[in-house]
Amino acid sequence: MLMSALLEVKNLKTHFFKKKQVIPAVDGMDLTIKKGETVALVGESGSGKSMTSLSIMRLVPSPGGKIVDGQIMYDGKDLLTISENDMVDIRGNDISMIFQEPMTSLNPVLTIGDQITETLIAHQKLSQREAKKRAVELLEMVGFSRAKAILNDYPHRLSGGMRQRVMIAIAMSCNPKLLIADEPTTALDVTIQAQILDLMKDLSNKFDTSILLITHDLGVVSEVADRVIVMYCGQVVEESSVNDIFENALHPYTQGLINSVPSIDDDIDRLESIEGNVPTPDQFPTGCRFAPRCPKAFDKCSLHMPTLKKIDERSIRCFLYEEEQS
Amino acid sequence: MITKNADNPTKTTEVEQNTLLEIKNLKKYFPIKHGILQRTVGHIKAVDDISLTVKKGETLGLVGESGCGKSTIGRTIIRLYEPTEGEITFKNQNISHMKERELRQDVRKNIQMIFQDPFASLNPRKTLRMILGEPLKIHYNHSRKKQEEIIGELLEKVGLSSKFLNRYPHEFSGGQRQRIGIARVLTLNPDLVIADEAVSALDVSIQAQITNLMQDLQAELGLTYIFISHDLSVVRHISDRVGIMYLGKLMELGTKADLFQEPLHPYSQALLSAVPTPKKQKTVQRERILLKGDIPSPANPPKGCVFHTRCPHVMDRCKQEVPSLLQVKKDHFVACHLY
Repeated sequence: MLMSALLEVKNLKTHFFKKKQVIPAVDGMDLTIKKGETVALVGESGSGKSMTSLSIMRLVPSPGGKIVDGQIMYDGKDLLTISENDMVDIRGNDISMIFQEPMTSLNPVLTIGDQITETLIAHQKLSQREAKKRAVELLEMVGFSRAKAILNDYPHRLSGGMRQRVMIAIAMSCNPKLLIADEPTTALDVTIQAQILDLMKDLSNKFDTSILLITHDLGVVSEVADRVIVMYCGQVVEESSVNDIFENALHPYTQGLINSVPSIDDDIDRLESIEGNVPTPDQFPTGCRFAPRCPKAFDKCSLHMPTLKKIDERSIRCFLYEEEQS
Repeated sequence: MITKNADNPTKTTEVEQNTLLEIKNLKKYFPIKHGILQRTVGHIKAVDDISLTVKKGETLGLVGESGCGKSTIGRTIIRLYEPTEGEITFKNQNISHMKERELRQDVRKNIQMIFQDPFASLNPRKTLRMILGEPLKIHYNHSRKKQEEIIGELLEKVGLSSKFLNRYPHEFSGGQRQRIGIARVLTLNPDLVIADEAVSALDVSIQAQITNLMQDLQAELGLTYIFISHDLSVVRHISDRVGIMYLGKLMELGTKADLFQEPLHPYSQALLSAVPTPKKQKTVQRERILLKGDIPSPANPPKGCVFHTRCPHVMDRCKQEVPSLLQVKKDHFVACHLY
């Protein structure tokens, strides 16, 4: 496991500072991604999943946000200590990212060709002509039949699904070892979503690329991920393989999350819902952050913060399972 | 006032067979204007020749991908849009070309709408008292005390507290705002509620809360829902009957059981197979039908069957003739040349 770990995030803390108030968006995050593996980061809005990915890319909005603690080990280097210039080399070449909004993440006044070749020329030092040739290959790889014509088109001429393919082509252009996909299919229709997920699976198999998939859709998770990390209020609450999490989720939050999704295959009379709302960071409870909404909470939960415990191949942050072990 | 429908049989006991709403050959075209003279150069056929009925007390789900016209249907029924052609009959009254004043007297109260975006659909400068009081003020002449009483009661009913009356929308989370939206709809005690993507903008755990609330209210008040959504699993959960739309046309309409277990239209089959499901056990391994290509533009829909450009079972006939919605068995209608 140590050998093949591609990226290791240890105790990452990304905080925001607003009028002397500290907002812990990511609060002690641990994460390991192995080579060729697809890891899904799941959580509701405000759980800190997008901030984790931006922290890995060192793109935390600043001023306002800051990585205050932790290590991000990639290829023997700590990404948090290297210079900005070295980081620029890593972005695109080693780690690249796809964003949620295919409508807004492409530049509307540049042609598709310009935007793909820009990356290639900057990172791979290709000439204009080579870059263009490669761009056509890339567009063909992501399933465009008339790739040459697309090169001269502007983004507004493409549909949402096509734009997301272009984004994937740009992200894959320098053969990255890690692809971070932040809600890549959320804005797309289901039939198009299925196409994009298939494409991502294919590419990951073909080039042995690791994927960090950030999503709130548990359906998507079960389709593509190998391992799942569930986040709640800036912390990891459970980590395990995909099969384990859907067959036997341990943390009450994960259980609630899975049960609140209606199934398309069978009928249930009533959905189980989680009471209450996700607390905002300035209202985080002392003790376990899920305690106020947890159906199984007991006295200890509201007083102390449980630690992330390893049980076999899985990790869990809950007192229910700590008792059993000791 | 709230208990007006309390003596009605609830949905679970017996669905009343009488029709609440009937749509016949409804069309809504939006003109595309071009050039300096703003001449009409074409039409976007958002809703193209759709007929359906909604029975009292049931939930009709309408699903489809973006641009299929599902929201337009909702907005045309409530007459936010003027229908281009066709008839809308609500409670045996033709409302398709009724004048605004007549509408307000009788119809507006009885058809209400819940909107998708809980952040945009509440006026940020008004308190809950004003937001919820406005419909009452327009339609009834209650004393201030009575009005306050009704609003307080409604807030409790949707799971909020009557103490919140002086608060502004920004003080609430997305889920709470959607509850306020539901309370606003209920102030007038409508017969028909059109929910346009009512839970789509919410997180899953909150989505389940709101879905449950909507079902509870339906059972309690005997409401009829038209539930418009792109999320097939939620639609399956809440609906009694479901219609699947594509490019302004109704492709298939049937009971929930028929449609989800045995979808007949190739588009329905592909759509259902494309939904990723969190599977507890990999028992039901549905074969995924991958559709090629994108949805054509509704300004220039394909000739014949609108789905023929992406259909895996396409025949020559599909490219020429428009299939009509035909009954294949009781309560199950399909628009496809295969049947």
